[in-house]
Amino acid sequence: MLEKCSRREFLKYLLGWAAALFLEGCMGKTPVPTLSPTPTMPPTSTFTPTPKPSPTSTPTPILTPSPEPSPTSTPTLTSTPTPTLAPSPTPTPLPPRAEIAIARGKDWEAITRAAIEAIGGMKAFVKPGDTVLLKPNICTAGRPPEYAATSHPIVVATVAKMCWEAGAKRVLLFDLPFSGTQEAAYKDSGIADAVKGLDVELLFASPRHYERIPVPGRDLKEWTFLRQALEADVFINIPIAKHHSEAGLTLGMKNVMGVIQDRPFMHWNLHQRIADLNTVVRSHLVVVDATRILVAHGPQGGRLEDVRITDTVIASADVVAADALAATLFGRSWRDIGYIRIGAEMGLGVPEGRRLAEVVL
Amino acid sequence: MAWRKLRIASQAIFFTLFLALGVKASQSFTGAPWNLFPRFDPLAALSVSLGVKRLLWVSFWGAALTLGLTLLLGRAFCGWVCPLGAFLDWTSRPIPRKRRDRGFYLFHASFFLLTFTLALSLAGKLWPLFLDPITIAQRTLVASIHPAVGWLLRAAGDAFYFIRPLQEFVDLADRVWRWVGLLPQGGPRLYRFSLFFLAFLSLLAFLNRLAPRFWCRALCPLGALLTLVGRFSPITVKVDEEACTQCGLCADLCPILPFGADRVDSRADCWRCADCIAFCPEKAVSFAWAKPYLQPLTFNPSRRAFLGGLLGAGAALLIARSDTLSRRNSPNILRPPGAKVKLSLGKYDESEFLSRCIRCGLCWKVCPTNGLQPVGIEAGIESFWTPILIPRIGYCDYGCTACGEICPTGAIERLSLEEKRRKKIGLAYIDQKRCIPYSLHLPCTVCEEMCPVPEKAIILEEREIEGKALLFPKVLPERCIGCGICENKCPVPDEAAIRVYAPFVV
Repeated sequence: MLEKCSRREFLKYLLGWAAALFLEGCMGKTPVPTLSPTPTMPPTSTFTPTPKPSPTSTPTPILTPSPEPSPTSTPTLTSTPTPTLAPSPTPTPLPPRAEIAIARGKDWEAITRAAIEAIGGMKAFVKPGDTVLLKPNICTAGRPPEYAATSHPIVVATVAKMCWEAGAKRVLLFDLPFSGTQEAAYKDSGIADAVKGLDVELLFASPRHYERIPVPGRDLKEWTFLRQALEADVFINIPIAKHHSEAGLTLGMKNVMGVIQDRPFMHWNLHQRIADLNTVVRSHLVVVDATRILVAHGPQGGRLEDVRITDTVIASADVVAADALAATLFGRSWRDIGYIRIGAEMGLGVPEGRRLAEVVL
Repeated sequence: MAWRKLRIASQAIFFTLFLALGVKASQSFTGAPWNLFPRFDPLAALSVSLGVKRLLWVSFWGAALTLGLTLLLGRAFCGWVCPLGAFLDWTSRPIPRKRRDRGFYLFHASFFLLTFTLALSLAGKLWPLFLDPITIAQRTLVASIHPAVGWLLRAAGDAFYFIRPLQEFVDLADRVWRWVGLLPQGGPRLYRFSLFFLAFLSLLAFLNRLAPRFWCRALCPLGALLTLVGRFSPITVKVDEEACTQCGLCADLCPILPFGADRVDSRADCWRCADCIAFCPEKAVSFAWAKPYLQPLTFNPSRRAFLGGLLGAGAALLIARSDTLSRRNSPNILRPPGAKVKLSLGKYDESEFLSRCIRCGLCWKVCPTNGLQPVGIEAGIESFWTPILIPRIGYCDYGCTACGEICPTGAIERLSLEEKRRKKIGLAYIDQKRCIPYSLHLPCTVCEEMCPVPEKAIILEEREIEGKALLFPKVLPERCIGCGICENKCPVPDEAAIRVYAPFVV
């Protein structure tokens, strides 16, 4: 049949194909995310289910609704309200599941697990067959993990393992460093080695993987996002808690900047624009790596003198709450950090009042 | 024995090796094997050694090997190894029906060019090496062919990516291209003058129309050097007088014999291509051992080419010296870290760098950000196609020492990461007329955020302006290393508001 195809026929097919493409293009793009129907709660309400439907149906307040932590003292409560560690397969859900968990301990894999278990375990976020995108903060190449410029490989690898355990179909990992190549950044951060053997796909960006879509923000009206971040069933945000010269601190909401293009232009109105990005890319789970934090010369660091070992991991489905709690590790209030404050105003999450679980290992 | 087939196989293998090394060389693959071809180039070795006035064995043991083999095998390098030769072979007519000796008068030009090149090398000017076949091939591969293929793959991928079911396949293909090195990190490459390099290669291919491999026989300075060395080779082409019918086919085929010869004989120029052996209808031609003797040259360069070369070199030196460009008056000349440039009292001494850089272009290739680019004449006529950093295209990666590792001649020194991080290649200046906080009173601190120096070479000063506090970036000259990431990432479009110029030293 092929050798019979005349030029005329060939062109006809070509035309038909083009028409099909055109029609497909007309059928509509990815749905425009809007703010109103998002499953977040109004800022005033204290107890509401996490965005991902979890079995918690009747919110009965039992646990410590943590007051706003004072700027000077980092929360050092050792009471462990929900020791949901030992029996991890919990078919019978305890009604008052914590909404945010902070775990401390020297074993960073264990505290990562503990923090996630305390808010319902990975199964509450990753359903069997889901595609998961892990978004650690690997902002630059050339900084080994001890410099606290990038998310720690142990934390990232642990989250990846937990995704597989929860039955994920694919686990992708992405960040685009602003300095150095992606390949070098994955390698230098230790993350490439840590996830080796875990079947995690390291994504490499090409312009065709990005898409320009409307943003229902206050400042941004449209921006260019990584398509995988929009399409993944579960977006797991794994920021490292560190100092940032302009943003104050870089945490979960700021970490979303890794999946967009034209980042330098964000800085014209940084805090508002960070919050706006978070209206499009919703973090289903935030795991704040505060195993060690960078307290100065961020975001790149490079001096071990600026690194503090804090042995902490925070997990929550609410990026605002997670960021607000992580800010206290630096002795700062969420009200000082513009994008957290704006995020709270815009209803992206609740900075305080979430049911808190503390785990000390 | 099928010498011709063996020769073609050897050409194919070396050509593939050349492509593979050149394409794969990158930030993660630097060092010894990736700069193999320039290091086996005797002309480059000789020129650099003359330039720095001592033998660079360490960099060029391979070149010594090439010369040694040439002493034994004659100019076999041209016929069996040279990637440019192979390319010109394949773009020539395989068997010309009738010998054409147009351009005959140019046939001794290679000796002129050789003398010219070496004489200028002695004066520390290596720019004639842009005519060295290995650097031609390397440079064109790096700056024209590799980027073009990259863009082609990118475009093809984009086209197929529209079809949803093929997206996985496109991503997989991308993964393969990335592994091979055809699709570098950060996308296909950009180079200044890439069209020019390709045009030059095309010109050489076009010269084949004058005579097969016209470049190799008439113009190549490396060929001339190998001819002079290969004159002592004991391997000759022998014609069996009994069997020969004087048909003249071998002389027609021979790429180096002058017009009018009726059969091949042993010449110093012979590159042992074995076409005469393969096609002789009587099987009368063969390789044979002979006592080492001085084989005749096809064209005797004589005094004329030699003196012409010296004269030309002298003239070139004086002309370049008289040009205003010899003052190196552009502030945008940022040499890669480790480049052998001396700085004192605001003056730049690039003489050692210029007497080492052979313009192979490998540093442009391995630079992960694409920032290393060939310079035109803005750094002086004598330094064209040496590397400079253009921060707006790509910055100097704080965690990278690739250019020094790949440099085959030590023009860019091999630095440890620690040394490199202290190497000042430039100094950033803030243009307050364009800088967003200074000129528009809007917040922006991108340059400070990007600065990779651990204690930050750009600091932020808070000042009250129109009743509100605003952060103003300020460069600390003693800390700035001039890596250029601030200029690269500056959100002010086109010309950045912070720009890196050549370092200022008091």
